[in-house]
Amino acid sequence: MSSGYFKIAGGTVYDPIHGVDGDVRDIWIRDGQIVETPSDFDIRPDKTLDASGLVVMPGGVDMHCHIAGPKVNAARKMRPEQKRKAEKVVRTSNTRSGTMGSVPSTFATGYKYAGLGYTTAFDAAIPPLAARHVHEEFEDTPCLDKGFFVLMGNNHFVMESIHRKEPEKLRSFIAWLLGAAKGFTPKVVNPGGVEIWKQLPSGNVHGLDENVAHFDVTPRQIIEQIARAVDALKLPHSVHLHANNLGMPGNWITTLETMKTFGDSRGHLAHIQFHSYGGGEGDENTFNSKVVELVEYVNAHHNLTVDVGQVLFGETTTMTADGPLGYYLSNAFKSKWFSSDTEMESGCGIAPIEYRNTSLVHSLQWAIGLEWYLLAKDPWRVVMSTDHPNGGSFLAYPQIIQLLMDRTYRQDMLKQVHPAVLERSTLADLTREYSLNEICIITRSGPAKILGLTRKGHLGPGADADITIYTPNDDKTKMFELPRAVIKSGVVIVEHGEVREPLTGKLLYVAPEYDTSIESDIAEWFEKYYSIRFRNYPVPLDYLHDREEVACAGL
Amino acid sequence: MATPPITKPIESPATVITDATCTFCGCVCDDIDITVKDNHITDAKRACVLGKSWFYGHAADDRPDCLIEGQPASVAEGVERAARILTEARYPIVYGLSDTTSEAQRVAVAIGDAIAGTVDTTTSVCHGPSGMAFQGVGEVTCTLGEVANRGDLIIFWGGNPAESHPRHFSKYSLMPKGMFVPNGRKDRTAVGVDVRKTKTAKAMDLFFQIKPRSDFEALWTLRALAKSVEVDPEQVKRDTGIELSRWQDLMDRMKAAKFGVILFGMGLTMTRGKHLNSEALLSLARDMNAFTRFVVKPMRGHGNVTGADNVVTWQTGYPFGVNMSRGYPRFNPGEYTTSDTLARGEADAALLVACDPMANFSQPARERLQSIPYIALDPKETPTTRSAAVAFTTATYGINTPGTVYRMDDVPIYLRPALSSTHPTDLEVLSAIHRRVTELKK
Amino acid sequence: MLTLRYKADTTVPVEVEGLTPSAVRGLSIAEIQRFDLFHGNRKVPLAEFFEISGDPADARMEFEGDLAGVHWIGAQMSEGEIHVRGNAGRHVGSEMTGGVIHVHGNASDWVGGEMHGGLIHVHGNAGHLVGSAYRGSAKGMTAGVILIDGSAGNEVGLTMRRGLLAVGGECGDFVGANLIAGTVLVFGPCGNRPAAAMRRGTVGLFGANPPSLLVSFRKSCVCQPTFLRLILRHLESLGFAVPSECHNANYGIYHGDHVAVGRGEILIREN
Repeated sequence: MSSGYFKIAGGTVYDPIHGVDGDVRDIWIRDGQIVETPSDFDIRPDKTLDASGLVVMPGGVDMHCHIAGPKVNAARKMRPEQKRKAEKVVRTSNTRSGTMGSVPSTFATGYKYAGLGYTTAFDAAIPPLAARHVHEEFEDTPCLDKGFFVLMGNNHFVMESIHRKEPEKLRSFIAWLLGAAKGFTPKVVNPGGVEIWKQLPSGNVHGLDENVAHFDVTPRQIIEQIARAVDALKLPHSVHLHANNLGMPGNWITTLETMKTFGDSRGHLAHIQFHSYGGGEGDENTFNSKVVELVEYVNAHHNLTVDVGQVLFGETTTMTADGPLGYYLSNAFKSKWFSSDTEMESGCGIAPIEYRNTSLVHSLQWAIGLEWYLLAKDPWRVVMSTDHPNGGSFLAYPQIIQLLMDRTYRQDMLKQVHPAVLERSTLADLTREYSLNEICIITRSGPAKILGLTRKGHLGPGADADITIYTPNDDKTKMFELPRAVIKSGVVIVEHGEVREPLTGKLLYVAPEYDTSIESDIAEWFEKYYSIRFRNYPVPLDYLHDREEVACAGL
Repeated sequence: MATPPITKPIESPATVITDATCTFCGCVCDDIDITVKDNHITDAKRACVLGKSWFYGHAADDRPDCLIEGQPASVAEGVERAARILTEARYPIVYGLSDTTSEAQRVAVAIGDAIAGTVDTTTSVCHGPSGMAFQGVGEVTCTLGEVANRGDLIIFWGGNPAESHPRHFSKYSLMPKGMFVPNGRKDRTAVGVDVRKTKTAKAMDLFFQIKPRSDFEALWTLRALAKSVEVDPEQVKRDTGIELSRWQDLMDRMKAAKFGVILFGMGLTMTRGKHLNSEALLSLARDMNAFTRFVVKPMRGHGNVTGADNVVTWQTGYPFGVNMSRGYPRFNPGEYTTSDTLARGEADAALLVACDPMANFSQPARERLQSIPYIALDPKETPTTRSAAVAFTTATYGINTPGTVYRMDDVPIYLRPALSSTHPTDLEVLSAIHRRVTELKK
Repeated sequence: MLTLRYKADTTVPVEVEGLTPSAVRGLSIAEIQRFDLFHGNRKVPLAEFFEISGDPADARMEFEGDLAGVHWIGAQMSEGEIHVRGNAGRHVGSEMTGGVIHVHGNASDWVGGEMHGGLIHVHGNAGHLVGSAYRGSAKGMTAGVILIDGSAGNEVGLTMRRGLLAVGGECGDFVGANLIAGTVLVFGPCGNRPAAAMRRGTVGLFGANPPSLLVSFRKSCVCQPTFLRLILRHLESLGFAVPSECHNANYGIYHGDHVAVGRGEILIREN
């Protein structure tokens, strides 16, 4: 008679949320969840996976990547030449074919993430007008639970509410918009800058207190008000911010000001590496790292979290909702350029890029990312990311792990990059090596906590049974590239690098309550300016297949 | 007290479905109010003449759901036969896809994958060249609401939207009183560029009747003027049929615009030069962004051809003409596109969804199609369905079936069907074929 | 020399990627017979479509028959010699890095696509996109020589990065479009819009009735360039027929494309 239990026996378990740091113990699973070890000794598991000598961690959580929606799809379409030369994803009896390169097709994305032991991923930037597109792509991205952040930092209704000093309306609008899109939290990208880009050639904002014409708000106000609204709504994740002046020498000042703007509100600063530059205006010769100054502020302010946005050398594709940034990059690299402005909501820019270790700037970017990991005091507030694919592909995560755990490997690579890195950053002096426990935090437990996902990132009872099992190896890249097994919702989905069972995964969304009287305001706004009917805009629950609402709990 | 008998109304009341979507052209208007009475559409408020013909042209019929070699058969028999044809073929093609929902398109691509065939959409005979140009230089674009709210110089190149997209002017490109163009038409300058004076030309403020097949030269002249490259006026007149001074005036207006928009059609993509014509236009738009905001938009035709592009791209990585013979996607327009795989006699079986190549492909292509076994799904009877080995009569998307479609600017919109149908949906038939194909391939 | 006589009768594409002189050099006939080619979506042993005889040790392969439906002949080859005694299909010599291919018949599209070295000589006609980049690539052919005795289609030398390409007969539209560098010479009539968006490099239009150039090209002078004399002699040494009038003709030099980088040149034979 089936007991319904699945046991992972005798693994070396890492569960930082519960203070488990390499203890040998069993994990019991039932109905897709981790459960208490049954007290009745007679209960036999239906299935046992012998994990003795193996490392057991919760499934990976990528809280900032670009994997679905109109921007990602445009990038796929734009890079056939990269796909032609890349690894082939061959169809099997239970998996679909696909293409790789820096922007893999949907099925390939799911299989490859799962292949690395990731079981949850969040797309970082979606214009809500395209929400249905994302839900469709998510349906075709297997093996992962997924969610997305909803672009709001250049949303006209948002800016109007802020200008009119109507925080309750702003709060209701944000709640309505999240529910309409079935998204997870507000995403703010270059607040105000994208609106100016739509108004002027090479338009952008360069400071937090610049005025956004026509709306008469400042980037600072946008950040501050949205952050407050998110906390008032008690959303599981804070506002997620791509700050102004990304990529510009000297932008560390904007970044520091931005951090201060949060005040006591929670805030997550995305791909902080791209925002950590000292130097003169546009002057490459003075470009240098300001991580020391910025990390000091983050260390001291517990309301802030960051993900790094590590750069790795090689060819990739930049894709961002920061329209003017896309234009800038394509001109700088003389590459093809895609740009699309979404009415009322956001923009986007796409340009291929190649990071070279002979380039001073690229080498510094690489070093700055590593400085963030190595200088941050609290691993719970510094998350691993490459801002896939902007800094590099998610397939490079194992290499980043090795760079953090193996000082010699890091120093060897340092010898091969531009020598200016030695004077302009502190990387050469940093001897810290990450432990497995810390790696576990920055790749799963930390991001799960920051996202407010109480059933992810840990192995305690009640957690989703998303588990990755690794074979220990001194070569950390090899260890993390090829898990022994990956379990999702209690099902072994990957074993020895082969996809066994590509589950669809579920959509994680929030549905905060709001004062419904705002809907008449919104409807009127739609009537005046949108090209789609208000009634046709929201995504109803029955459009989604597998889904789970994440509650807006108390802080 | 006894319950009073329910009196049947003498006539069934009409129902009105508001905010319904029309899928006739790429405008994908979602503000249509459809009146339904006795399973007939009797009114389609706000629909244009094309939309009305779309909505009114759907009477229930009693044609069989399935025909095998022209004889009525059950859907199950048709599915079986279809699956056998497709799995036995060495170079099967899946083609069409634009007039159906994205849910159905996703299954069609899955079939293409499972049978190691080639998946292609009507894009390849329409704006495929624009897709290729996009892969060469990129594209600067926007959603249609941006055109309505910001566009103050609107150029229509090589298309006739007055007749092909009748509500485009009023809904998106010329008439709307937008946020930054509060006086609507008065705040805009409309420019037409075409080889003949169409109905669209009459609605323009400026019209450039260029020499036939000189779009590339015209665009190159504008690109040169944008970069202040000196050009020979006589050569310009010879090449384009238009005086240099007129082009210069247009370029001055383009640079002075706040938000320029070029909307282009088949006149560019299907005339000599094709994808390089499109590339010239996309490059011009990019050039213009050094001076002011400028965008382009290809005027997509069929209701969900944009959806087909999107689905094929996200599932395979390539937008159309995708070959999976080797078990993984390969892309090469001119090699894996359907007019080529048919005309060269390479395809040996086909699954045709919502398209009519027997009516509009080249003679060699039609001859090849006639000679191979193929399956056709279509709500209507067409030359293509008549010569099919297996023909399925399916319900019409948007009229009978719900689902997602993508507007010409990639905005996804959900359909609100009005009428019931006895026929199976594309999604049902394709899903059944996919299931059977998967079983046979094991 | 290994001889492969084509005996199939099919219009479904046959793909022979990987069947190169290096690959077969160390194999026995039996092993070569078992080599997998693709017939549409089916893997098929080579022996089913070809009669195979001879000895591959000298890295020389001869294909016999009408191979217009056989694609990727010589693709990615690095050494050795391939002769096709008949027509050839698409992608002849695609991405090759060395060696020599002779097609003693016609070839289809994409001859020498993104070639990186070696020599291809088509003694008949070629299709479109000779020596071109594949869709979306920032650069195409990077080295090597392609000689087409007959005619070629559109987009000859598209986005070429370096190399030498000569067409004896006529060619279609957009020859040398997006040229980054390298030399493309056409000895017969040519279609329209030559060298559109050219950055650097040389396009020679030596046939009768040269087309008018785009407005963004500017005539600079007329001369008898020495480098051309050397190239023509080099072409002749490779077995390519150069019309006698080209040796002592005057050439108009046009600089452009000024819409792009504009450091390229078009040479037009004036007499």
